[in-house]
Amino acid sequence: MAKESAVTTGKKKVNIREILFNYFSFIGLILVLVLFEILTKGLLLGKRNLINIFNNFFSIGLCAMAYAFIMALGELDLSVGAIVGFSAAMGAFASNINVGLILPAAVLTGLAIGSVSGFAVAKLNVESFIGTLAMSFVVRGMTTWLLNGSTGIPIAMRAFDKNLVKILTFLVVLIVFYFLYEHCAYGKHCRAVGASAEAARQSGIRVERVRFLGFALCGMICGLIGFFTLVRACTASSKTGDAFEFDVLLAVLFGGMPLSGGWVVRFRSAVVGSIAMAILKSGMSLIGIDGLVQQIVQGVILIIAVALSFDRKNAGVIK
Amino acid sequence: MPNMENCLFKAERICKSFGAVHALVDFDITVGAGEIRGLVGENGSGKSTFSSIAAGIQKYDSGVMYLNGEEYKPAGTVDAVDHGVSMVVQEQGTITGISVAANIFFGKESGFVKHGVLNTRAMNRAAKEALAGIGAGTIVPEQMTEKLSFEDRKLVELARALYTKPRLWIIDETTTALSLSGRDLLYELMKKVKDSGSSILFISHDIDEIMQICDSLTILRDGVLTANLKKEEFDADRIRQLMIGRELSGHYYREDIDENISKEVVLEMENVTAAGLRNATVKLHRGEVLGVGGLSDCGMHELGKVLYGLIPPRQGRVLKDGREIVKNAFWAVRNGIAYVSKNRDQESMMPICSIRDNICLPSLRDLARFGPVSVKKQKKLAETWAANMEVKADSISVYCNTLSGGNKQKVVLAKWLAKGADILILDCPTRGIDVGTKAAIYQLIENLKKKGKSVVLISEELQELIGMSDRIILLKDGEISGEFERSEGLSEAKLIQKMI
Repeated sequence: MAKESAVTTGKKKVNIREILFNYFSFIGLILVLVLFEILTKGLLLGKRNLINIFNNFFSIGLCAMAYAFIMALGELDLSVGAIVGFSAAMGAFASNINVGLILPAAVLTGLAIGSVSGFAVAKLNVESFIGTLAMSFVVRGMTTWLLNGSTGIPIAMRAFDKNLVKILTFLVVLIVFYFLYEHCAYGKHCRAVGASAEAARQSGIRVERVRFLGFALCGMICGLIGFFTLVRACTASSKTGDAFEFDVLLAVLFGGMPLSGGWVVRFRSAVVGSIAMAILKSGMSLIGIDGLVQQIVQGVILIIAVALSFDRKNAGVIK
Repeated sequence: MPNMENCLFKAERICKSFGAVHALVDFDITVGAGEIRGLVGENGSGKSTFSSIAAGIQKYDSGVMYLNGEEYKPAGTVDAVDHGVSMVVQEQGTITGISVAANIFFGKESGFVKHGVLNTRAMNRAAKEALAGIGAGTIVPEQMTEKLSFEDRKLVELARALYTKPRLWIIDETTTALSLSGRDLLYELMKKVKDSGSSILFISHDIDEIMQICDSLTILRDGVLTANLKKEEFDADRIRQLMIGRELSGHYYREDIDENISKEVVLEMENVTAAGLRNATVKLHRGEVLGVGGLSDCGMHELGKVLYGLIPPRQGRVLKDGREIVKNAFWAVRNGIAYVSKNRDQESMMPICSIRDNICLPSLRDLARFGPVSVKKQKKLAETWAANMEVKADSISVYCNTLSGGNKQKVVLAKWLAKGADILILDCPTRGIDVGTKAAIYQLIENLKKKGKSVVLISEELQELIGMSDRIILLKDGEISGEFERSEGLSEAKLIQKMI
């Protein structure tokens, strides 16, 4: 009913909603930026803090770009934080053999766990929300059990925690994923599966494979994030990657991705949402909101973002 | 007040639209007391729309209806029945999961309630009488409805409609579901109702039947009244012409009889048993249009899905070109098979998605095996085929949920034409779409055949099967019950015998 009435209302009204829908993520970003710039009295965009913001943005943004595929599929992955932690731990173990093994170990670990999640969702038909939640418990449990506290790596590995390395890595992933999502068959297949799995299947798309690859891809990126987290701290602990899944989820929802999946999920939402999220986190730290209260604020924003994204999902339908 | 002399029911200037489609435009009809009035027209001409309006199932946009000289404005089916207007519908009208008696007295149970408890025995007794009254005494009232055959279920509906002693009885294409003996029973009932002074509005597309039974006739075309005929004016050719509105030589269905169909089998099903199908063997030849028909739950839709690899056979196998097994839909698409589901919005297209992306979806991997797919190529492919199928939309970026049923179906067909397939499995491709698009789809099937492509046409409309197929296979309860070659003398009655 609402759909019909919206279609028949004047063209102008539809356009306003459409503009709101299209630029909501930017509006949110600007609001957060202005709010914290004022609250921190200009400290937010100071040179030192910009690097801080970038470091926050780096991991959230990397993961959000992979998460776009999951969101397009209409699925969720609540295990990304756990995978980051576990990959970091495996990277730390690998450094005992050879420091050159840290990166492959972390990335392959992420890929492996992502594949297990993908298998559970695609082949065993486990609801992704439940499947990945369970997965995060399993993986976190394993991390804590294997690490037994924390494990360090040689301090020389800090060399990889350079801004240039990170910026280059981010750009490469950004370009590759942007084309994969917006212009390659795979990205379009993901959105088709999210829009209507049965229609996609009947158009000759291997639905299970598309779903599986989405989770595997996301797991692999989490492994990469695990590596960068490890070289930054030079130690892996059971706390590594804690609550990261909510940072990412919040970022993509804040960026305007609807939970319903399909063709309305846009790639740029991942980037814009991640920037907003990084600014939010950094801004809250700067004005002295402690970690616990930050979680409360994030939880509230998560609810608001989902409520709004539901509305915007309908706006997308009107188009 | 209109002149109501000897007139039981009258409708004036009835209009009804579904979105952009005008189902009825200023339609007038009068049914005299004790008269059997026929209502004919092509599929989609608005016959069923009008009958459902008169029976209170649908609301109309504008116009007036009179019953016995008083304005009649049914609030719903129950209200219509209270006014004495009762209808037997075209589709299945019984409710499964409850007994025959409960079906007959559905909505009227209160007549059998004593002290708040339903007296089932009294209801069964009354049901037995009602069934005996229409000459169907063999049906047991206590039985569950789904245990009955399709024909017996129709008889239950007749008993239900007649129990209320309607003043106006509407029969909507019920005879297609009945065997010859069932038809005779219905004709006798109609005569009885007529003799009792009530009236009947009889809807059918069997012109012989209409000429035999009706006292007068109203003809509809594209929602517009074209003629009212009296019994002495009946003439089969004239009626047909008035229904179709053009010379009969015009194209609608195919006209040729192709006797030189290739012997080459392109797709076959060997003794397949699967969900809904039992031991079915089907062969599709190159350049052949194979019609598949039956009643709605006979397994014909499953047959299409098995051929396309969507339903895996429990026994038997599906072979393409006599060699390779059809594994799944992905394999089928790679190997030149296309499938259009009956369930358009859920299965054959994505509504919240642009025309472009819908059309390009199966072809994406052809446009670029690896790496980015060129935006230009996608645009060109979608524009070419949307134009080819004459999809009516402002641009190819328009979301498909804004399109009409016929246009959506054109997008679905454009998608497969763009992909290019040698075998097309079309499950009810003309279901719920306008006459113009229907004609375009028939034309398309004919052209595909001329190009040597093979088509499996699954349809619930017998005329469509007879008109388009080189060969017709009929299914009953999941088994193949009959096969007919294309010929001049093929009639619906012949097909129906194998379906029931």
